[in-house]
Amino acid sequence: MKPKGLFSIIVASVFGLLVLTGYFIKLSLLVKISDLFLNWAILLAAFAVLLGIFNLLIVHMRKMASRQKGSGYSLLLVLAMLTTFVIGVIIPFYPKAAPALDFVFRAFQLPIEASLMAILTVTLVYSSIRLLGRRLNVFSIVFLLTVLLILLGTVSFPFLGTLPWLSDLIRPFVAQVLAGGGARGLLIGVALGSLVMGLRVLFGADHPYGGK
Amino acid sequence: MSQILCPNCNLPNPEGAESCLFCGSSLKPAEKAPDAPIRPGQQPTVKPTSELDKVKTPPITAGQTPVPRNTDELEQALPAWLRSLREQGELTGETGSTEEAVSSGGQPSASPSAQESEEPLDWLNRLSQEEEEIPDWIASLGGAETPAASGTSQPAKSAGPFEMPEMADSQAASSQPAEEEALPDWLGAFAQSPESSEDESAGLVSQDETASADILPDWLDRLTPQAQETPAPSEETETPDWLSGLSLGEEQAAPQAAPEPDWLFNQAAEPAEEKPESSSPAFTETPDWLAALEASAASESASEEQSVFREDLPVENAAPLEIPDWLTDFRVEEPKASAPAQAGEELAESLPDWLSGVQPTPSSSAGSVPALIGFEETSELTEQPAQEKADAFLLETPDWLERLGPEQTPEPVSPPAAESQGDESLQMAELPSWVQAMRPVESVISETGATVSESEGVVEQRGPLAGIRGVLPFLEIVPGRKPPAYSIKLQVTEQQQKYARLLEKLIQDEGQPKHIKPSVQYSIRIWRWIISVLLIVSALLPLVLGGFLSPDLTLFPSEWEQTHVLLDSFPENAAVLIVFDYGPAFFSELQVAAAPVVDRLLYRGARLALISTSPSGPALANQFLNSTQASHLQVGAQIVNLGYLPGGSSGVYYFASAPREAAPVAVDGSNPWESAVLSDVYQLSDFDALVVITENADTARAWVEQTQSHLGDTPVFLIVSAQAEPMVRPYYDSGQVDGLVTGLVGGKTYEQTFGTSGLARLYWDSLGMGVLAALLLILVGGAQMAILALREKKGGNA
Repeated sequence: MKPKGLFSIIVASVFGLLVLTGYFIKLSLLVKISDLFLNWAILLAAFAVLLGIFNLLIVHMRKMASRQKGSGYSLLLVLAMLTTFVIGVIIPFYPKAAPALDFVFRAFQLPIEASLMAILTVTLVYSSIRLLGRRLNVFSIVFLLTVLLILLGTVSFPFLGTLPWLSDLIRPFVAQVLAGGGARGLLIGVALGSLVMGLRVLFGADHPYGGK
Repeated sequence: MSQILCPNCNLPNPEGAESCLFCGSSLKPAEKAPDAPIRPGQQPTVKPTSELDKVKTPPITAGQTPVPRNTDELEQALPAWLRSLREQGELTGETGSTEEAVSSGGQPSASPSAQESEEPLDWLNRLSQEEEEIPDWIASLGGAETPAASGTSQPAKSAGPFEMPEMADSQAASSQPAEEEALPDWLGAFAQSPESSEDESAGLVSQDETASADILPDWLDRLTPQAQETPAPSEETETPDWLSGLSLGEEQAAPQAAPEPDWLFNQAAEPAEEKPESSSPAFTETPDWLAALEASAASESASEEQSVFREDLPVENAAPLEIPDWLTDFRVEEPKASAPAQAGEELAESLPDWLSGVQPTPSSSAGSVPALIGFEETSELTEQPAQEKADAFLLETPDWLERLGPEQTPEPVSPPAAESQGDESLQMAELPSWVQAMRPVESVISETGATVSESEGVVEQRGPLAGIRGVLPFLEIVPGRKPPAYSIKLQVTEQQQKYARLLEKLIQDEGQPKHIKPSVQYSIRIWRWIISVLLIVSALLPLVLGGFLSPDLTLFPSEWEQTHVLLDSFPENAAVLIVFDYGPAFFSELQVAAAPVVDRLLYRGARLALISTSPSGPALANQFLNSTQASHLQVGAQIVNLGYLPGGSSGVYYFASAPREAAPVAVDGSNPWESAVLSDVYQLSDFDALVVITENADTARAWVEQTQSHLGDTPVFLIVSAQAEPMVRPYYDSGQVDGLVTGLVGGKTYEQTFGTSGLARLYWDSLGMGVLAALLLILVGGAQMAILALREKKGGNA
């Protein structure tokens, strides 16, 4: 192993062990060291967000410079990005600019993402209709029946209200017992996986910080 | 009273005598191993021939002049049938006087006594008694030999076929005048004539040799100088009278004297009791070569056995055997006896077909020389002119042999192992490849040394001659099978043609485009438009119609009661941390779900601190407050927006451990920790409640897990989207989360609980209508697709 890789492993393991120790042992020194390292991590993460924004800006500016196909959309993206960034940056220094930021959010971002969610609804309904035509088997039928039961037991239909047996018995059973059991299994698996992954990083078995 | 013949002097001795009364030699060996001639049908036994090894002279070969040698010692080793031949020769050679016969040949040279001359020997008496049984031809020989002896000259080389060495020695030892006195007239004439006849015969032989040397193969050519180098013996002094007479008589009676006379057969077939018992110690065991000859003679008929004995035994097989001088002389001198054509024809008639065909084949003479040369062959070699013999060689010699001229003598080839034994064996002829290929397998095997089995013949294993010995194997004689001629034209059966047509049809079908039945294709775009329109119409229809189409909820969720109790138990002016961690797409749903809870908190005077781990979270928080809590904001609600908290889970943990350090500045740039909202909050546990609004289960899990060690008794409320409920509910069920509000249903539940009418009520009818439309679409469309799929399956199977 190269010295550079070994150094990275040592740094990651030492700092990880310190933070972990401060999590379990409430010593003032360990807590302060742990908080300091976590603060550094938060700053690095925030800086990483900024780096991501600048990277996206450079990519689209290159695209406009090379006059590639769709460079007009890149121009809009760059303009919106710069405008929103400037407004967000000047708000602390100029608080009267805050309603402008709310307007951008309310006029552009919120309706766009809501429309995407609406399209997703249509797409899901359409996929459910074609499911049996594409794959007519037991699992497809069970999947569709589950969807129908949850929908029937979730809402109150016009002029009908909630459906007995479905809303108070079948739907809670499916959502809280069957789905809850599966979710618990997934969560336990995620917890064990996170634990093992953390230990591997601490002991140098895995080093995701290497960029590979 | 039985008597014993002395092996040395052949004189009878009384039974029980251990030594000869006449010569003093021991008689014991004769008693121990009496020798009996083999009879037809008997299997010969292999006997040592060590006595024959005493003669160190090399065996005579074809074209070689025999040299008389002293073979007294071997006289005792003669087999019984040869002895009987000699005896009969004596009978035919003499005039009938027993005394003369004894004096000429039967008397030993060492001790001629008067008693012997006066008293005939016992075996001679028997011979005289058997004279009545002498066949006619012998009688004719006896009658004709007298004039023949006078008129025919005996060549020097032809010492007679039955040369008796001891008699020759005796003659050489005795004084010539004495012999002349004892010799009869005809023998005296014979004794005087040899010179002239010797010259003639020598001339014949020399001519034969020179003539045949031109055409003979190399092996014969090599043999010729040896014969020339051999000094010509004066055999007239060694040739016994009876033998001379016999040979002369045979020459005179050439037409009657067949190459294999009857007496020769009779001698071989005579029973042992009728012959004088041989007392020679050396003859107690039959020599190997004689055993082989006798075995072959016993296995076949009388005529066949003689023929085989005479011609089928190749020289190369007999070469290892040491042929005594007398036998060599016999073989050489026999040609002097003429081989008339008549006798040859008679012999040919008695021979089987295969032998008659083989007999004149020159290849047999070229490839192998018979052990005993027949009378016809010897006569041809000696009596015919040289030119005739040369022509005969030319006519009967194969092409390969013709090409081997004297000047084309091939380079001397190293003799084989059998030949390398010395001059005692004949050199093996070099067979051409085609002759070797035609040889039977048995002959090749016999070359390894199995001379006895070869002389016995090979037992036929198959065919109609199965079980018969000595039959030529027909399979090996047949030349190599010619390879079958295959036709150039392709021969294909009808079945193969059928398969070929089928394969061709298959390949042709593969090359043509296959028509695919067009399946029912539905336009995706139309269906999407239809679905979109139906869903939109169903969602907008309650808004257009106005009023409340759907009744209120009558069944609340199980978590509703606990959540409701906690919300009402907060103290006034409580510090509540609300986390807005959801995307703008879920803004409408979570707005409806969170609005009743936040409204209840603000209603109770709670101080709100807003924070988010999503970059859009602070804007969503402002939007949420402006859209749902406008009434509360107008009256001066204490709310502070801490902004964005980077770092994900680490940021959450850091904020949980040190809120003031993690979020030191609010969105408006002020210090939130110095404001009235958070002035008394130093750590996370100082908040009275933690409310997390999110659509992502991972975000909810991060807040629950990372803040749990710092919250203390602070309750945690989760307001999540309906899609995250299954993943979040375990935390509620496990007690890590104190309150849970899920989706539009949860918001509608708390609106009903708190007796307010808000967005939940507005969205409730649209939600019901949209879900109903989606259900109908899924049911109808799914059923139709299933039917189409079943039809396609049935069509495909058909």
